[in-house]
Amino acid sequence: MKHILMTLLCLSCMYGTAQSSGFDADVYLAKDKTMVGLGLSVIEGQVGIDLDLAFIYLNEGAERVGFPEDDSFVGNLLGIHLIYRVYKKGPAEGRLGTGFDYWALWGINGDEYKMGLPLFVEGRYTLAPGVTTHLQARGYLLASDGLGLGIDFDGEETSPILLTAGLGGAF
Amino acid sequence: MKAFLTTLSIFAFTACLPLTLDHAGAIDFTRYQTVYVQPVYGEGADILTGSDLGYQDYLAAELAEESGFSVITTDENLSHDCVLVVSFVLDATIDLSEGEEEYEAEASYTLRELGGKTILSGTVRDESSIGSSAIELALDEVVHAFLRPYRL
Repeated sequence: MKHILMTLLCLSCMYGTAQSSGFDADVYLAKDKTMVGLGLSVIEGQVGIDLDLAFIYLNEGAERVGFPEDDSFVGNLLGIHLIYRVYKKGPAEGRLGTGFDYWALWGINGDEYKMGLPLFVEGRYTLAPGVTTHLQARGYLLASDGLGLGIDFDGEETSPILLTAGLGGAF
Repeated sequence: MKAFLTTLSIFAFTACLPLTLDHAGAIDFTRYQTVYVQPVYGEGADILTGSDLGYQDYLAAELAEESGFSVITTDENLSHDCVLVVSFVLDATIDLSEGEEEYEAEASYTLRELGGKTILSGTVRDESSIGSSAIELALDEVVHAFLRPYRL
């Protein structure tokens, strides 16, 4: 974990002043959970890198087993992704991405984690100079047992995707 | 623009999909509810061979907090369903350039039925610049192997 955080920090420093860099404030649209975070993406030409850090909380009253009723913090989602810009016309932009997601579930146990190999599509729209909004749909090509996108508490399965929406600032 | 934002807002508020984090548990905690934790012995750097040094109590306390066992005891005379045997080896290395010590603890664990049949076993390791911390971190990994089932 220490190595992952150091890598994220180093990459942030490396790319923080690069052209086309941008920060995002993200909301992950997960039922019964509140997931908010920050993203950093850099694209030079059509290829780039994207880093995500999200905080995961279980909503009050959400169904749970083996997790205290009075606790809400579940952990963090750390992601590092390669992104490819497949479309750009005017204010609209489309991206594809893949990489590595690490779900550090410290709120459950200090050594508990899950991992996933994501594939995502993302649409971006420039609202004003330097201000963007985006919507991302992420699925997992491979994932740890128990990382159930699209699976509800009772085991009912829907679309196995995680949606993310947000606002960003480009600089 | 307005239509786009309206559409995005409606989508965002209605598109929450389920996401479940689940762990079934490494063993059947309904069958193995009460565990006796044996004294934890270690060997290696700075370790008094043959002495528990309090790690039995540390392990039992962590198991009580994090594991799926209902009852954890360090008294072998109390009724129990299974026995947890843990030992560790502590290695120390010295970085001569910086004069710093680094410790790596390797803990081996075996959960046995009373008849001796192995239920679960494994080896975990962790490291720290402090020997006792490396041991505790390795024991934390043992506890993680018996993490209580969860679903949220």
